[in-house]
Amino acid sequence: MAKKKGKGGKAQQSLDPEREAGEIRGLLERGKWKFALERAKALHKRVDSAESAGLLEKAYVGRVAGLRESALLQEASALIEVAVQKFPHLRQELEGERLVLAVRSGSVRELLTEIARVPEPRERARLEDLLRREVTDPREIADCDTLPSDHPLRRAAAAVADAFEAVISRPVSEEEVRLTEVSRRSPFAPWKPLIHAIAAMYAGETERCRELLATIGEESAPARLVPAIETMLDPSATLPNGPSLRLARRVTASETDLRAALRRVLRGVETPDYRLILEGTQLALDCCQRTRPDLTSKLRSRLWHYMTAHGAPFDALTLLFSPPPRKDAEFWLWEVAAHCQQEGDPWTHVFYLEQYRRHALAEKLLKPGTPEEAALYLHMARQLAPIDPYRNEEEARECAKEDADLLETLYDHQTPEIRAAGEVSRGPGSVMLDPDHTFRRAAQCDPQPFIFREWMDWSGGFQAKEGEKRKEEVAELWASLRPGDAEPCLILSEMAEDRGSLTKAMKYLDEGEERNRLDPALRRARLTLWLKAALKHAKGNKPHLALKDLANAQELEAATEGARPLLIEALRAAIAESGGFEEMAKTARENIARFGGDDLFATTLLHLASANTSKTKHKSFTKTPPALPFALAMARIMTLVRDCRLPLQVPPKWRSWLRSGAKNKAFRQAPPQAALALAEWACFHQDDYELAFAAAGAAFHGPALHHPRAFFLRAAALYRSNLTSEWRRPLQCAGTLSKNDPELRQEISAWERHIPMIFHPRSVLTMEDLSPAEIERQLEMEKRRAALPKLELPFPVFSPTVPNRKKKREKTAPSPAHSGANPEPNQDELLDLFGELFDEFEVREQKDRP
Amino acid sequence: MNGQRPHWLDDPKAPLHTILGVSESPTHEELRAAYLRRLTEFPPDRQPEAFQRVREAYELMKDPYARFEALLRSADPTRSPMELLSGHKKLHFVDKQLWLEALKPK
Repeated sequence: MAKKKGKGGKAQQSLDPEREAGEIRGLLERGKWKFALERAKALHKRVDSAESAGLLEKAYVGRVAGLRESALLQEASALIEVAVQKFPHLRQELEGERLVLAVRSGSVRELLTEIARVPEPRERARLEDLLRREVTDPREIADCDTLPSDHPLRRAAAAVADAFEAVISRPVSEEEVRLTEVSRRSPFAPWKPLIHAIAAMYAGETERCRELLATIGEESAPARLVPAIETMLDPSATLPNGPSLRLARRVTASETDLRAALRRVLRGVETPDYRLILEGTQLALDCCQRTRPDLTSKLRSRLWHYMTAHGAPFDALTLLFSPPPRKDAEFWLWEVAAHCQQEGDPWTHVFYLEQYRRHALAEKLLKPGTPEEAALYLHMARQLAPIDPYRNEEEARECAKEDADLLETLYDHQTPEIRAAGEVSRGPGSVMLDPDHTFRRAAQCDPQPFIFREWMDWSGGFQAKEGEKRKEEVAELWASLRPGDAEPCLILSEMAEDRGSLTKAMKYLDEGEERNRLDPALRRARLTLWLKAALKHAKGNKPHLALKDLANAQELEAATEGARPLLIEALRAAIAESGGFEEMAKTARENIARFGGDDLFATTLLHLASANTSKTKHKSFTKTPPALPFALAMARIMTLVRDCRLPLQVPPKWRSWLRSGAKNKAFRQAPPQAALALAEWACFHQDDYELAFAAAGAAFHGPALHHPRAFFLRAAALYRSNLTSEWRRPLQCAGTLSKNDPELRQEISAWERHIPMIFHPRSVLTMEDLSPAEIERQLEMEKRRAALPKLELPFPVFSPTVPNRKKKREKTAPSPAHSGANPEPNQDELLDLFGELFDEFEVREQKDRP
Repeated sequence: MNGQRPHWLDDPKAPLHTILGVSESPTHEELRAAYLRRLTEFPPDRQPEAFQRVREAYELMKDPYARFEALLRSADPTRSPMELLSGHKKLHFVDKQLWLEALKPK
């Protein structure tokens, strides 16, 4: 070095100035800035001429550029100061360099200040060119407040920064990286093809990526990434050591070592071999940190949950993962899943979900007040809804306290942000364990009718008055949040009608019609209301009032639809006859005979009307009607009754006739709607599962559009009648086939909510679809089954040896399920029985204790 | 996609947003646009399998309730953590700082 210095410096002092100047020019041309500067300084000191000053100036400018190229930014800045001090007119020439040095040092403020001064076009072009070449992180421009926030340059920078950060961190849509804010002339224009190229690369579109790379301006900053991306596309390409190679290697990192280490862990967990687990985990996490640092946190969390699921003790895991995994949203999601698998209590499930919600909001994975948040709240509410609401209140309080204690331990060694996001309030603050609260939140985030319906269904679980009050509150909130919905008015009207307030019920219907005049349910509700009033008056021996109600009903447009006039006529005939209005009764009977078309149908309809309008004596069949025609007639009547939503009671002995009729093969001729109406009435209103099962079977022989409902009713009948899991398959068929029937899906969903989770942890509506072949097989099986399968249990549930059981059954009134010819108990009863047996066992044990 | 077989087609557990090529919580418009784009990329007559996956993913993604249930179902602690590696494509997403360093002038 000293030799070189001598050669370039002092050794040349004796040279002729002109020769010396020539040599300096040569050094400058060859880019030997350092020597050129030293010799130019010496020459200028010796001769002090205009020529030597010019050479020195050139040497200064060249040396500054050289220092910049060598990334000696501070030295270059200092040299600029020295040069400007000696030659003040160099200030303008070196201004560009100064700005470049500032930008490369991470400060864009000076450059932006220059741009903000709105310089002349040429100057502006120069500055923008500088931006194009030098700015490596558009976020710095976007965040710098030197330019106003609406300045096109700052807007473009923000858009580019967002798109760039997105494209290098996750798969993106074209929409996200469209970058309409960036014009073709913008200094950020070269970033557009770069971002699109990166997106194409990650999407596996190699050719497109190459095409886009070729369009990036060579002099621009984004062009510096081209070699790295080309290496990512073709790892065999050579690239010198440096940041580009480092980037390419990380993007295309091989996971071989990490895979091997993970295999050790998995083998250790399977064996179980704690040495393998310990070594493998440490190795895997080290490998991951080296090759996939983006995965480290995720891997820690997954390993933790994997080992927990395989029975690793909590204390051992705490030792193994020290510090413990990051308790972020993802951790809590997996915690919820683990808790589900262990069939843990619903309160802890909801508690963990709440933690997930808090973290997801903090991590911006979830936006507050959106349908996504409503989905979470609804899921929470659904976990707690099947529990008796009074029991829930007590248990929830206990559980919230215990889980809050546990959380404090779990949040040890977490970052302040994580702790802040997961902080829980204690005691009454734990309102997420109250379904009323979670339903309310869900409805407020996304006021969907089905949320209100479920909420109302749950509110009905409270005791009479409280339940009514809660349901009313829900309906009122529904009405206020969805001003176009008539359904809450309909519900309020039904509730008022149940309380016996006809005027109020009518008022609610008026309000509903104001909201939606075209709602057929409202029009039908008014008809139902008048018919119910007529039944009530008739039973109260007020035939004149009942006939007046019928007249009011008949005036309605809805009364003329379908076969409804027949039902009204039948009620009129029965009421008029019991009230002594013979003429009117005769006319009504004639009308039914004329328009009913079938003698047995007309007679059955009249007898049914009579049975429901007379409090004491009513007309009935003098001899047993033929079972099959009777069942067909009743199926038709039930369609009518279902259509008018009338709670008509069927005389008990009719049901045995119906059962034998529905089991008859010829019942398959019954219209599927009628058969299904009969099955639905039997299943949900009479608890006659044998009849429901047989009647639903007829629909399987009809068109395919009735099959989903038939499967559902078969499943419901099977579930309610025995303990086997035979009901699952038909229900799955119903779930698969009901894709285009939202009404049926709603019914299935409502019905499933009443099944304890241990029997039915997951709705069939969210399960994978059955294949057409599986459905066909089930259909064939259902077609073959005419009668409800008998209960076959491997243990004697109704063994006479069970003490007190018989006595108890004798004392209490028979349940509707046992009032017919269905000797098998339903699921609830069996559960109760098991409960009793266990209670007895406990009592005996306590007695036996000394 | 230029007729290429998408990488998520061989991964039955591929996240829904990856199939549609959207962010994890897209807006309704983004989702719709992504779906229409994918339909042109995977027409049912040429790539029925991919089309079916796209359609199912869209149906689930557009319904926030179904999407949340799918999210919960996707988490299964007994599943091998190895899938963190196997499900991914060969190219990894890496820290921004690495990209910025490569962008700096030499």
